[in-house]
Amino acid sequence: MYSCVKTAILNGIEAIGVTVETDISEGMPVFDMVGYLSAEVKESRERVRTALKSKGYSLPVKRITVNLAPANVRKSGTGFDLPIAVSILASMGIVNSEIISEMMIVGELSLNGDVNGVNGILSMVISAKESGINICIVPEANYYEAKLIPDMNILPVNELNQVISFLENLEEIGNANEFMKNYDGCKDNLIKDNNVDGQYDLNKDVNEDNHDGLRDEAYDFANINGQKILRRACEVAISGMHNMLMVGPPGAGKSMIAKCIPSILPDLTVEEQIQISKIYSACGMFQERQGLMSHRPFRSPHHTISPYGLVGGGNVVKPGEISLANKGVLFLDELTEFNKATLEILRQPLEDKEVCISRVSGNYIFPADFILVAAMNPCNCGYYPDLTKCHCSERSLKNYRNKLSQPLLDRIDLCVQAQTVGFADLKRLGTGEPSKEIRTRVERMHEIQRRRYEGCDFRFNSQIPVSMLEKFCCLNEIEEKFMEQMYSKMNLTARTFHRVLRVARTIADMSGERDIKVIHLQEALCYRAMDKNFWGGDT
Amino acid sequence: MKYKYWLNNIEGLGNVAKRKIIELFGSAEGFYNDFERRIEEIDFLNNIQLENIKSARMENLNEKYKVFAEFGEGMVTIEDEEYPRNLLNVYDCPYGLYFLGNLPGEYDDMVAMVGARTCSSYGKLMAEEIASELAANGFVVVSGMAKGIDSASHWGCLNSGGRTIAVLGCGVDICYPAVNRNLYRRIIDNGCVISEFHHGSQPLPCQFPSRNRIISGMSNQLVVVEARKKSGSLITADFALEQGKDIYAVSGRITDSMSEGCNRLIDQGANIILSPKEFVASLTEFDLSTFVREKKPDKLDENERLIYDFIDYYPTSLEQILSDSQQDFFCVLSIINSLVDKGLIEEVFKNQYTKIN
Repeated sequence: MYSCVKTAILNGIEAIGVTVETDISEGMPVFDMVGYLSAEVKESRERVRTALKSKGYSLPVKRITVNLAPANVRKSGTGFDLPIAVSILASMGIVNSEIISEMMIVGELSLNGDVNGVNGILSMVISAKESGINICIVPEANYYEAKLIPDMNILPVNELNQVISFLENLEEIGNANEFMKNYDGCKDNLIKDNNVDGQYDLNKDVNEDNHDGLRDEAYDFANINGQKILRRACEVAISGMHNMLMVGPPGAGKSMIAKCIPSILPDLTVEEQIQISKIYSACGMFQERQGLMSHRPFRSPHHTISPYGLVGGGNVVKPGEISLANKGVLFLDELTEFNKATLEILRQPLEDKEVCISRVSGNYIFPADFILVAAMNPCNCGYYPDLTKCHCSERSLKNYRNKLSQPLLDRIDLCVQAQTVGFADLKRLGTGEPSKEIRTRVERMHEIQRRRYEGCDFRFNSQIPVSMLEKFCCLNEIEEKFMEQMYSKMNLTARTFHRVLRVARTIADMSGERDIKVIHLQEALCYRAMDKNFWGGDT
Repeated sequence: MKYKYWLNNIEGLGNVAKRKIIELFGSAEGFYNDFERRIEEIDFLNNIQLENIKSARMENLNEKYKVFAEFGEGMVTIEDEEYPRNLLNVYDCPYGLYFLGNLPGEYDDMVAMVGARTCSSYGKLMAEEIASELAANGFVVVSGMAKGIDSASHWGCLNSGGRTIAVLGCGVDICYPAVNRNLYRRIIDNGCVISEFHHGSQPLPCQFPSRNRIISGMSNQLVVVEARKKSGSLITADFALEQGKDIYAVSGRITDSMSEGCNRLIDQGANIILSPKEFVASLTEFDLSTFVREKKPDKLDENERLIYDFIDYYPTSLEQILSDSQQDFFCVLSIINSLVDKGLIEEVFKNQYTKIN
């Protein structure tokens, strides 16, 4: 007897629908599975057989054929166990095969028949919704994730028998919506459901909790002493979403400042939250979160990271750190310690705000709209140009400088020096301006930019395309003259010149000016990209 | 000339041995011709060295010299009049010197200047000023064309229209370090580059100390501008001491590791340089006791003066200036900008400034 069940498979961060077909017919007793399966899917056969047996359903002594369609898509992941089991049960006539063809079933089985969670539920539910399915059976571990999507009937299950009894009940009632109402009522004690009104789960209490959890008290700008320029640069960077590089000796507080940056990041919009949540769901990093990702991510990968870890890739293509940092901050501490090839990969995503990964299995486009915040020492020992402390040879300085390519440095709008904190500043612990106040200002800046760039395809000062610079970063006569002087004096290139203009725009916004003034340009120039000549390139 | 080139190229023969040969035979040509006949008179060479000489005599010296002549390098030996007189006082002075450019004349006064490769802007400034003062008074500056103080000395001299000599630790055809290409060419036009090493010799670390002995040996005085506690410049100073030259050192702050070597030299009896003018005056034996430093930044307004005073000859960070001056960020920025504009300070590293003048 033939039956089919719908499920989904993760492809990058999007899901594509897959149909599990089962046929049980007379013949030699074999259990065959076809459909371009990867190893973990092939193993699913043993799990399904044992799980069914432990719940009291032994496979019939017949020829069982399972097909996963479309057959040209490589099937990977562990979410096929449950749909295969249900499909076999339907073929055996234990559950109604008509009902199950209108729902999506995802879940991994353990040998005793328990249902385990899988990755990427969010994307799968979204794809189910798009293809007109409104009932999803998901593992209970993924329930919070799945119910974030409105107008969907989500059935959380934690063992195989539960699925069977659900299906039986559903068959009796006949109407899924009706059934869900009753079901929600009885499940109320188990899981608090916020999904009844069909709205995104933006329960304020839950969000506040998340905030305070992630916006760690210890990492607040109030605890940063001195570092006036660095603080200022951070605010400029976040206000205009500019990339930033901190250069300074060890112990100057570069990492500390970077860790404070999440505390001044403004809140996300709902669309952004869904996009980030999808990425995190696909990577299995959603965990027990009781709502969408409500805060901007702050990713700080170690410098041993591989190119694929950074931009994404792998056998089963997964998003990398740059996508996990989407709409947030990617912090690269000890920038020069990263593999050079790994860093160069960042060049394209920094421009395009997304990364396209091409593999034999297909092309995947992952969003990568992040602010790059990097920190580095000025030389191997960390004290250049303080020659009383730095003993680096000319050659080692040169090698150090060559670890970073100019094109990458050029893509960083703000570059600022971090200075070791003096004792006088140290004593005044916790007297700095708290992050909350800075965040309020940053939010206002984002609002200004949102309004200014309404109808444009970019949102922040850092993203103004060259063709629009004339319009948004117009210079008056005095400023024009000033920049003309500086252009030749500071050996600017067209690219660095445009960066200076964009930063100056943000600084002008911050001081509430409509036009960019000389003073804003001066500050922007003070943050301009590192010059390779700084490492003893003169003579 | 071919005989001189031949003698200079014999392997395993030291400079002292070559000098003794010349004393005995009178010239390289005489040595070549009379070697077999007077072999018994040579008591200062061992058998291996004699064998080397014998096999070298077998080679076609005309052909070898022709190859050398095509390089376009000059060669001067202790037999020649043009050989730097001072160098003859060094007991193991090189028999032959290769050069590009014009050798100094017999009456040229030469002053050696050495110092650290990684130098502060103070060291660089001092080297330039002393060199240019020396050049203005007709002295020839001898240095090693390394980065840092050496280059600054050469440039200071060249920019004042003086002549300068670079003694290299490699063949004269090789510009080491390569970044000094421009300087290398200028020196050849306005002085010469000299080396005891053959055409194409690579700059090996072991060759630099022997170069240093030529630097000090050629000159009458040695000026050490900036040197750390363990510095190659101090090796030069040791040679100079051995050779009985006057040593002058540019003093620095005692907290400054860049000047530790110099201060130590002064402690050990080196002369102190109080100002470039006074130093050169003392060499030319003019009295110039009332010397006042001439260059003073003028036309600075009150605020500019305030910020300028917070900036040092060593890199001072913007953050430091900001917290020292207690001024508004924007205000400091625009002042610094105008100071940079006036050429009084320079951004030497990200947000770090030093005085230049």
